[in-house]
Amino acid sequence: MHRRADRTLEESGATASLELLALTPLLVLLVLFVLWAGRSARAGLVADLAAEEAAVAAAMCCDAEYDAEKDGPHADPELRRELMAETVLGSRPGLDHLCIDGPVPDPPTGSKDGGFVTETARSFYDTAEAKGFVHGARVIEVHFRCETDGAVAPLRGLFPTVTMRGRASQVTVFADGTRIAVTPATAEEGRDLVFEITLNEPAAEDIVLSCITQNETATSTIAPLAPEPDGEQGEPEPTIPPRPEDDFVAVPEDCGLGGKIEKGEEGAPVHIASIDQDAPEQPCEGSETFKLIVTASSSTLAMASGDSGNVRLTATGTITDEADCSVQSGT
Amino acid sequence: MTATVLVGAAVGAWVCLGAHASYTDMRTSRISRRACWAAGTAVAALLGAAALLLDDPLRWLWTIAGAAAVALLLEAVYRWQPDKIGYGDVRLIVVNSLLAAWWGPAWPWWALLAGAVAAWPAAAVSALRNGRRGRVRWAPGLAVGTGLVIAWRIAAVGPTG
Repeated sequence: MHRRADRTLEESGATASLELLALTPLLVLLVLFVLWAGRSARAGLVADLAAEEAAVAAAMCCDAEYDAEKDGPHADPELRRELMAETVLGSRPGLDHLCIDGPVPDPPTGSKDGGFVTETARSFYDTAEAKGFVHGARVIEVHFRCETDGAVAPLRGLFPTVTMRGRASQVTVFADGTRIAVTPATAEEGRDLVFEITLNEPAAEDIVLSCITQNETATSTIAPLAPEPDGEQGEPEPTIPPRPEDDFVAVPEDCGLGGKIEKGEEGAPVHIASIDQDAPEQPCEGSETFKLIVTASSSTLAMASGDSGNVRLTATGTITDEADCSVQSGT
Repeated sequence: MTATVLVGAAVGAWVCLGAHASYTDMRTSRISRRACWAAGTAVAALLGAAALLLDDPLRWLWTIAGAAAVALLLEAVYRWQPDKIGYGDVRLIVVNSLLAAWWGPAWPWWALLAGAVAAWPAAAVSALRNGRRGRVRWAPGLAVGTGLVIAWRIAAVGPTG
């Protein structure tokens, strides 16, 4: 009796009813269906996360300047973005396992790109295309599809498949605004100095300009004229010394451009004539300088400079006098 | 000692249990509780060590969770209809699930499914002899079904895949 009780504790019955054997496969299939649904949903989640990672990587990877002839076709940013997205998607844990054929490119309807990545650019202004995305937005979109059976069956495709789509976009805003610059100028005495006012992209709207010149050393060697008397005899000499003549012709306030750089233009030259006017006893004046001060006004420039809308630029003009100086040194 | 060897040892321990349980079930309609506990503990320990060697301890937790899901369902069935299944079969299925869950949470269920289908011929004979009240000694079927699933996974992805 004691031995019999021990045996009951030690061993358990091991027979099953026929109903249970018949019902077990149905019960198991029901559980597997739940697993299938959960794993398929997970495939969708993994696809979205992978697309997000790939979009970020593609947006960040390949903005370097590209020269097709110098760098070769492999340096093409579009190709590099595509490779980057493919690499990220391929290395995403679980995606390759859950998708029967792996991630497959699924470009939007009507897209000319057949890969994982499409790139679109939008300008903040009316220009058709923002050159270099200086003040616009770029949208990198990654899109692929993943046909999954939940990876719960011994044979792939044994269970129904569902197609999950991974889509994500990465928006990069380029809001530097239009940048304006003026180049210095150098010319031989008697010739025109040409200052170039340049923009880094076509003007999105008219840019209003005003110019003034400010002398530094570019004065004539001819003796300055004495100030004219103001009509009263016996008056003392004026305290302001006489101003020598400038060696250049002051630029008009509108810079000679009609006061603006028109919409769509990328810049304009400002011509300032120098004067070859020397005293006979001192023909060589050496290099002389003056300043050109340009004030540009535009709402697009305001965004770049952050001030009230005016950008003030200064450039140096240099008037050389090699002809006279070489003659003087020769004598 | 590699993870592959440890998984192989776990499979070996399970094979011993399957053979022993099948033998005792066919002879006495009973399965040794001690054998199930010993084999189950060995399988869990070996798979845990393999998971540590693979630097993936979560895999062992998922394995335990996969087996626990099957165990919970069978416990519920046993509590609800104790005359439909012996507790020896429940223990054997739990150990089977522990090993099969190493390859993923779906595989214990496939092992159970295969075990049920493998027992259908014996069930048909029993039904012919005893009618609806017939009973089946399930351990050999469970061992065969689980063995097929494990062999399938090892062939498809390897011991540590």
